[in-house]
Amino acid sequence: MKELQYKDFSLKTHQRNWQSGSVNLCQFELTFKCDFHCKYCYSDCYNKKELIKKELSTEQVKSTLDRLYLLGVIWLCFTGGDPLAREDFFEIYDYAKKLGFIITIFTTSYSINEEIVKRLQKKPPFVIEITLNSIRKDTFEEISGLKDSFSKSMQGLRLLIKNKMPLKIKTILINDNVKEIWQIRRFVESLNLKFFPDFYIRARLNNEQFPCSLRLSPREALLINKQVDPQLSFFKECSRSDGKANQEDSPFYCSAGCGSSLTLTPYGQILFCPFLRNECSDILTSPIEEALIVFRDMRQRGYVTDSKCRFCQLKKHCFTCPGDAYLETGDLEAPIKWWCEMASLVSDDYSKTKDC
Amino acid sequence: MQKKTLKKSAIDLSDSLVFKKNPDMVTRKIEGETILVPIFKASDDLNCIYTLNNCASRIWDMIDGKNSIDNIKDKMLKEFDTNEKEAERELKSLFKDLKEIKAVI
Repeated sequence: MKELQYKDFSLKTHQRNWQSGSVNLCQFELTFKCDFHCKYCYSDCYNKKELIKKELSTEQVKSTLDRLYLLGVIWLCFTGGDPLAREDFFEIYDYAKKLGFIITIFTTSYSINEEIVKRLQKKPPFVIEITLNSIRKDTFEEISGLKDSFSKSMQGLRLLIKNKMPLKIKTILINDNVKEIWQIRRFVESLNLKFFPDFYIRARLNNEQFPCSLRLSPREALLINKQVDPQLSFFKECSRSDGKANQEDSPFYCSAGCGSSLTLTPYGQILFCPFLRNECSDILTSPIEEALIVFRDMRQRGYVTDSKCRFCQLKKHCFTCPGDAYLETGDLEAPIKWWCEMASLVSDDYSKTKDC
Repeated sequence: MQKKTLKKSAIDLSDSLVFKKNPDMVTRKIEGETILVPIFKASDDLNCIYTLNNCASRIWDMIDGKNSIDNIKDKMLKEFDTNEKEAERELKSLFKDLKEIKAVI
């Protein structure tokens, strides 16, 4: 028997799957139901009673998990909406644990109570990722869209900390909370956790553009990133400087583009990109393998227009993707002005650092 | 990739011992590799993942709460190109490791 450090195992598996195109990660949107209606949320447009009724049943979810298991998926992320908003969440979770998935749960601390923590403690997830957008009641509730949600959310957070649950907190930075960033950072670090600011805002899945108006300016976003992480390691880690972006004439050079991950929607659609909802197959009627072939062809199709992005020299510093472009412009090859500006700033910053 | 040596503890493994798999350890067979995933561990303590080679994987399959170590050895001798001494050594080493990580009970 060989004992591998977890990080080595993870790296080895991801590298192998990137080469072979096998899927090892699934982002499973269990439900779009959520108590919150966060103003920047891209899926809140589906957080409606009449749509939630159409979501997969418990048995359908379980049978889907069986298929993911057989496909060789290792990492499973339960997301939404708020997956904990499903009444059958623990039936699904326990089933997934029994199958041996390494599970991450994206949720709001608003959903967390003593009973939930007790159940999670028995079979802990790999990590619970929650979003904390403010430590002030007024800002918090302005963003979450739910009155009196602050104190219950903080209570949920305290419960997770007290019970030493594996936790990651991220903060979505928008115009509403940017002034509080350092307070939030101090608070998160006082919990001995790393502060993760996130400024990645996209249009809603029904193409509603409102969330985009909440974005910080690219300059402000970059400045904050530099203050939090002077090395800009996020940009370096995600940088497409491996040449892939420049060599391959395809707009898909994300993990979706490499074919090692897939997304499942609450309605049972299989997607290769969480933001390209039109390119899907139905898990209830089609084999996943068939969908993967279609997705591979999609990824390999290359640019079909003379998009500015296609020949852009800043491509390796740019983090836009066809999914974002589609939601924002209706054209998956179109540039997004915000990302163009950001890429230009990051590139300038790199040049200056190089000169130094 | 870092290979680590498992700490061996003094575990007495007689041939008549029968083990069963710990239900908290899940087996996954992915792209020809058998891995053991401890489901009771979170990111903070999931430091390691265990992989089994072909022979160890076959032995793992035979651990069912009924087969004794001796039975498993007999089957190994039939299925693998090995001798009794080697099989015994392989088996005892694997069971020590599996006990160590609480994969068998």
